[in-house]
Amino acid sequence: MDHAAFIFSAYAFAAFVIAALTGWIARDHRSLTRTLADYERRGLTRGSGRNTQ
Amino acid sequence: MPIMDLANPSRFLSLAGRVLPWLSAAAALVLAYGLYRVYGAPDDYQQGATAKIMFIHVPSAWLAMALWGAMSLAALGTLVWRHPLADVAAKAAAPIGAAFTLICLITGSLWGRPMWGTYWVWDARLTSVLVLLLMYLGVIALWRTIEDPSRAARAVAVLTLVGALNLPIIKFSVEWWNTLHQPASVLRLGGSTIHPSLLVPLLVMAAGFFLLCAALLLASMRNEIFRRRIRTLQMMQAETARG
Repeated sequence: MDHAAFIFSAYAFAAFVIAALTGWIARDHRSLTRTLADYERRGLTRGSGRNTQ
Repeated sequence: MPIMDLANPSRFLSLAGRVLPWLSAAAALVLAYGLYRVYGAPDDYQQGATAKIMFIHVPSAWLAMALWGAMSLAALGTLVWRHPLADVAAKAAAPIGAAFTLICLITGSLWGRPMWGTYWVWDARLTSVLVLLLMYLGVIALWRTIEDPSRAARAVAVLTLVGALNLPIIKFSVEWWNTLHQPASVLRLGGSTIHPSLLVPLLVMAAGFFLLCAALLLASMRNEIFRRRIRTLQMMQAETARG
Protein backbone atom coordinates (compact mmCIF):
# COMPACT_ATOMS: atom_id res chain seq x y z
CA MET A 1 0.00 0.00 0.00
CA ASP A 2 1.34 3.44 -0.96
CA HIS A 3 2.12 5.78 1.94
CA ALA A 4 0.83 3.25 4.49
CA ALA A 5 2.55 5.07 7.37
CA PHE A 6 0.58 8.26 6.65
CA ILE A 7 -2.72 6.39 6.39
CA PHE A 8 -2.22 4.37 9.59
CA SER A 9 -0.96 7.44 11.47
CA ALA A 10 -4.09 9.38 10.47
CA TYR A 11 -6.44 6.59 11.63
CA ALA A 12 -4.42 6.01 14.83
CA PHE A 13 -4.49 9.72 15.68
CA ALA A 14 -8.26 9.97 15.09
CA ALA A 15 -8.86 6.84 17.21
CA PHE A 16 -6.63 8.22 20.00
CA VAL A 17 -8.41 11.61 20.11
CA ILE A 18 -11.88 10.01 20.07
CA ALA A 19 -10.89 7.49 22.77
CA ALA A 20 -9.39 10.26 24.92
CA LEU A 21 -12.50 12.43 24.54
CA THR A 22 -14.83 9.51 25.35
CA GLY A 23 -12.70 8.52 28.35
CA TRP A 24 -12.61 12.09 29.66
CA ILE A 25 -16.43 12.42 29.41
CA ALA A 26 -16.96 9.01 31.08
CA ARG A 27 -14.48 9.83 33.89
CA ASP A 28 -16.13 13.22 34.41
CA HIS A 29 -19.54 11.51 34.61
CA ARG A 30 -18.34 9.03 37.25
CA SER A 31 -16.80 11.80 39.33
CA LEU A 32 -19.89 14.06 39.13
CA THR A 33 -22.27 11.18 39.92
CA ARG A 34 -20.15 10.27 42.97
CA THR A 35 -20.16 13.88 44.21
CA LEU A 36 -23.95 14.19 43.76
CA ALA A 37 -24.49 10.88 45.59
CA ASP A 38 -22.24 12.11 48.39
CA TYR A 39 -24.35 15.27 48.83
CA GLU A 40 -27.51 13.15 48.80
CA ARG A 41 -26.07 10.83 51.47
CA ARG A 42 -25.42 13.85 53.65
CA GLY A 43 -29.07 14.88 53.23
CA LEU A 44 -28.34 17.93 51.11
CA THR A 45 -30.60 18.09 48.03
CA ARG A 46 -31.77 20.90 45.80
CA GLY A 47 -35.34 20.35 46.96
CA SER A 48 -37.55 20.64 43.92
CA GLY A 49 -35.24 19.41 41.14
CA ARG A 50 -36.79 22.00 38.84
CA ASN A 51 -33.98 24.53 38.70
CA THR A 52 -30.51 23.51 37.64
CA GLN A 53 -29.07 26.92 36.81
CA MET B 1 -43.40 14.93 23.94
CA PRO B 2 -43.43 18.59 22.80
CA ILE B 3 -39.92 19.82 21.98
CA MET B 4 -40.14 22.67 24.52
CA ASP B 5 -40.63 20.10 27.31
CA LEU B 6 -37.00 19.12 26.75
CA ALA B 7 -36.07 22.61 27.96
CA ASN B 8 -36.62 21.19 31.43
CA PRO B 9 -33.22 19.77 32.50
CA SER B 10 -34.79 16.97 34.55
CA ARG B 11 -36.80 15.78 31.54
CA PHE B 12 -33.70 16.12 29.38
CA LEU B 13 -31.72 13.94 31.82
CA SER B 14 -34.41 11.30 31.77
CA LEU B 15 -34.49 11.30 27.94
CA ALA B 16 -30.67 11.29 27.69
CA GLY B 17 -30.49 8.29 30.03
CA ARG B 18 -32.85 6.34 27.78
CA VAL B 19 -31.39 7.41 24.42
CA LEU B 20 -27.63 7.31 25.15
CA PRO B 21 -27.12 3.51 25.18
CA TRP B 22 -28.98 3.14 21.85
CA LEU B 23 -27.16 6.09 20.28
CA SER B 24 -23.76 4.76 21.40
CA ALA B 25 -24.55 1.28 20.09
CA ALA B 26 -25.76 2.72 16.75
CA ALA B 27 -22.58 4.82 16.46
CA ALA B 28 -20.36 1.78 17.14
CA LEU B 29 -22.23 -0.38 14.62
CA VAL B 30 -22.29 2.24 11.85
CA LEU B 31 -18.60 3.08 12.39
CA ALA B 32 -17.68 -0.63 12.32
CA TYR B 33 -19.63 -1.07 9.07
CA GLY B 34 -18.05 2.14 7.72
CA LEU B 35 -14.52 0.84 8.45
CA TYR B 36 -15.41 -2.43 6.72
CA ARG B 37 -16.54 -0.42 3.66
CA VAL B 38 -13.37 1.71 3.85
CA TYR B 39 -11.23 -1.45 3.87
CA GLY B 40 -13.01 -2.68 0.72
CA ALA B 41 -13.02 0.68 -1.07
CA PRO B 42 -10.83 0.88 -4.19
CA ASP B 43 -7.78 3.13 -4.39
CA ASP B 44 -8.28 6.53 -6.00
CA TYR B 45 -7.06 6.65 -9.62
CA GLN B 46 -4.79 9.63 -8.87
CA GLN B 47 -4.04 9.51 -5.14
CA GLY B 48 -3.89 5.74 -4.65
CA ALA B 49 -4.53 4.36 -1.16
CA THR B 50 -3.80 7.76 0.43
CA ALA B 51 -7.37 8.80 -0.40
CA LYS B 52 -8.48 6.49 2.46
CA ILE B 53 -7.57 9.36 4.81
CA MET B 54 -10.56 11.17 3.28
CA PHE B 55 -12.94 8.83 5.16
CA ILE B 56 -11.95 10.33 8.51
CA HIS B 57 -10.74 13.76 7.39
CA VAL B 58 -13.96 14.86 5.64
CA PRO B 59 -16.47 13.77 8.36
CA SER B 60 -14.24 15.49 10.97
CA ALA B 61 -14.26 18.69 8.91
CA TRP B 62 -18.06 18.54 8.56
CA LEU B 63 -18.46 18.01 12.31
CA ALA B 64 -15.99 20.78 13.16
CA MET B 65 -18.17 23.24 11.23
CA ALA B 66 -21.54 21.70 12.21
CA LEU B 67 -20.72 21.93 15.92
CA TRP B 68 -19.82 25.62 15.66
CA GLY B 69 -23.11 26.08 13.75
CA ALA B 70 -24.95 24.29 16.58
CA MET B 71 -23.13 26.46 19.13
CA SER B 72 -24.24 29.55 17.19
CA LEU B 73 -27.89 28.41 17.39
CA ALA B 74 -27.39 27.75 21.09
CA ALA B 75 -25.88 31.25 21.43
CA LEU B 76 -29.09 32.67 19.97
CA GLY B 77 -31.01 30.50 22.42
CA THR B 78 -28.99 32.00 25.27
CA LEU B 79 -29.16 35.64 24.18
CA VAL B 80 -32.67 35.83 22.70
CA TRP B 81 -34.81 33.12 24.28
CA ARG B 82 -32.81 32.37 27.45
CA HIS B 83 -33.44 28.68 26.82
CA PRO B 84 -32.38 26.72 29.94
CA LEU B 85 -30.42 24.14 27.98
CA ALA B 86 -28.90 26.48 25.37
CA ASP B 87 -25.74 27.40 27.27
CA VAL B 88 -25.45 23.83 28.60
CA ALA B 89 -25.40 22.62 24.97
CA ALA B 90 -22.94 25.34 23.92
CA LYS B 91 -20.52 24.54 26.73
CA ALA B 92 -20.75 20.78 26.12
CA ALA B 93 -20.18 21.16 22.36
CA ALA B 94 -16.95 23.21 22.54
CA PRO B 95 -14.43 20.49 23.56
CA ILE B 96 -16.05 18.02 21.14
CA GLY B 97 -15.82 20.56 18.31
CA ALA B 98 -12.19 21.28 19.21
CA ALA B 99 -11.39 17.54 19.11
CA PHE B 100 -12.91 17.04 15.65
CA THR B 101 -11.22 20.20 14.34
CA LEU B 102 -7.88 18.86 15.59
CA ILE B 103 -8.54 15.50 13.90
CA CYS B 104 -9.41 17.36 10.68
CA LEU B 105 -6.18 19.41 10.76
CA ILE B 106 -3.82 16.54 11.65
CA THR B 107 -5.33 14.02 9.22
CA GLY B 108 -5.30 16.75 6.55
CA SER B 109 -1.59 17.32 7.22
CA LEU B 110 -0.88 13.59 7.01
CA TRP B 111 -2.79 13.50 3.71
CA GLY B 112 -1.07 16.65 2.44
CA ARG B 113 2.51 15.48 2.98
CA PRO B 114 2.47 12.65 0.38
CA MET B 115 0.10 14.49 -2.01
CA TRP B 116 1.35 18.09 -1.85
CA GLY B 117 4.87 17.47 -0.56
CA THR B 118 4.23 19.46 2.62
CA TYR B 119 2.42 19.00 5.93
CA TRP B 120 1.21 22.58 6.03
CA VAL B 121 0.66 25.56 3.79
CA TRP B 122 -0.84 28.90 4.78
CA ASP B 123 -3.65 28.76 2.22
CA ALA B 124 -7.12 30.12 2.95
CA ARG B 125 -8.79 26.76 3.74
CA LEU B 126 -6.12 25.45 6.12
CA THR B 127 -5.68 28.80 7.83
CA SER B 128 -9.43 29.37 8.34
CA VAL B 129 -9.77 25.88 9.88
CA LEU B 130 -6.81 26.63 12.17
CA VAL B 131 -8.63 29.84 13.17
CA LEU B 132 -11.70 27.68 13.95
CA LEU B 133 -9.58 25.52 16.29
CA LEU B 134 -8.22 28.64 18.02
CA MET B 135 -11.79 29.94 18.41
CA TYR B 136 -12.87 26.65 20.02
CA LEU B 137 -9.94 26.91 22.44
CA GLY B 138 -10.86 30.55 23.14
CA VAL B 139 -14.45 29.58 23.96
CA ILE B 140 -13.27 26.78 26.29
CA ALA B 141 -10.91 29.24 28.02
CA LEU B 142 -13.69 31.82 28.39
CA TRP B 143 -16.02 29.25 30.01
CA ARG B 144 -13.27 28.51 32.54
CA THR B 145 -12.41 32.16 33.16
CA ILE B 146 -15.85 33.40 34.27
CA GLU B 147 -17.12 31.56 37.34
CA ASP B 148 -20.83 32.42 37.11
CA PRO B 149 -22.28 30.13 34.37
CA SER B 150 -24.98 32.57 33.21
CA ARG B 151 -22.49 35.46 32.86
CA ALA B 152 -20.04 33.16 31.09
CA ALA B 153 -22.83 31.96 28.78
CA ARG B 154 -23.60 35.49 27.58
CA ALA B 155 -19.94 36.33 26.91
CA VAL B 156 -19.40 33.01 25.13
CA ALA B 157 -22.60 33.50 23.08
CA VAL B 158 -21.34 36.83 21.73
CA LEU B 159 -17.92 35.34 20.88
CA THR B 160 -19.61 32.34 19.23
CA LEU B 161 -21.83 34.50 17.02
CA VAL B 162 -18.86 36.63 15.95
CA GLY B 163 -16.90 33.44 15.25
CA ALA B 164 -19.74 32.11 13.07
CA LEU B 165 -18.54 34.56 10.40
CA ASN B 166 -15.64 32.16 9.88
CA LEU B 167 -17.96 29.32 8.73
CA PRO B 168 -18.76 30.73 5.24
CA ILE B 169 -15.08 31.70 4.93
CA ILE B 170 -14.07 28.07 5.55
CA LYS B 171 -16.72 26.72 3.18
CA PHE B 172 -16.08 29.10 0.28
CA SER B 173 -12.34 29.74 0.81
CA VAL B 174 -11.52 27.20 -1.90
CA GLU B 175 -13.66 29.16 -4.38
CA TRP B 176 -12.84 32.74 -3.33
CA TRP B 177 -9.07 32.26 -3.24
CA ASN B 178 -6.50 30.22 -5.10
CA THR B 179 -5.80 27.40 -2.62
CA LEU B 180 -3.68 24.26 -2.61
CA HIS B 181 -6.64 22.53 -0.94
CA GLN B 182 -8.99 20.98 -3.48
CA PRO B 183 -12.45 22.50 -4.09
CA ALA B 184 -15.62 20.92 -2.62
CA SER B 185 -16.36 17.51 -4.14
CA VAL B 186 -19.36 16.26 -2.09
CA LEU B 187 -21.47 19.21 -0.86
CA ARG B 188 -21.61 21.24 -4.08
CA LEU B 189 -24.35 22.63 -6.32
CA GLY B 190 -23.64 20.38 -9.32
CA GLY B 191 -23.72 17.21 -7.17
CA SER B 192 -20.88 15.03 -5.92
CA THR B 193 -17.85 14.44 -8.16
CA ILE B 194 -16.77 11.36 -6.20
CA HIS B 195 -17.34 7.89 -7.65
CA PRO B 196 -20.04 5.92 -5.74
CA SER B 197 -17.47 3.26 -4.75
CA LEU B 198 -15.76 5.95 -2.63
CA LEU B 199 -18.80 8.12 -1.90
CA VAL B 200 -20.84 5.39 -0.17
CA PRO B 201 -18.11 4.48 2.41
CA LEU B 202 -17.58 8.22 2.99
CA LEU B 203 -21.28 8.77 3.71
CA VAL B 204 -21.43 5.71 5.99
CA MET B 205 -18.39 6.98 7.94
CA ALA B 206 -19.96 10.45 8.10
CA ALA B 207 -23.18 8.93 9.53
CA GLY B 208 -21.08 7.04 12.12
CA PHE B 209 -19.18 10.20 13.07
CA PHE B 210 -22.42 12.19 13.44
CA LEU B 211 -23.98 9.46 15.64
CA LEU B 212 -20.81 9.33 17.76
CA CYS B 213 -20.81 13.12 18.06
CA ALA B 214 -24.49 13.12 19.10
CA ALA B 215 -23.77 10.52 21.80
CA LEU B 216 -20.75 12.45 23.10
CA LEU B 217 -22.73 15.71 23.09
CA LEU B 218 -25.64 14.16 24.98
CA ALA B 219 -23.29 12.63 27.58
CA SER B 220 -21.38 15.88 27.92
CA MET B 221 -24.60 17.91 28.34
CA ARG B 222 -25.70 15.51 31.08
CA ASN B 223 -22.35 16.06 32.83
CA GLU B 224 -22.77 19.83 32.59
CA ILE B 225 -26.25 19.66 34.17
CA PHE B 226 -24.81 17.55 37.01
CA ARG B 227 -21.94 20.07 37.43
CA ARG B 228 -24.45 22.93 37.78
CA ARG B 229 -26.49 20.95 40.30
CA ILE B 230 -23.34 20.39 42.35
CA ARG B 231 -22.56 24.12 42.15
CA THR B 232 -26.07 24.90 43.45
CA LEU B 233 -25.58 22.42 46.32
CA GLN B 234 -22.19 23.93 47.16
CA MET B 235 -23.76 27.39 47.30
CA MET B 236 -26.59 26.07 49.50
CA GLN B 237 -24.02 24.46 51.79
CA ALA B 238 -22.08 27.74 52.00
CA GLU B 239 -25.33 29.62 52.83
CA THR B 240 -26.14 27.11 55.57
CA ALA B 241 -22.65 27.38 57.03
CA ARG B 242 -22.90 31.20 57.04
CA GLY B 243 -26.14 31.52 58.80
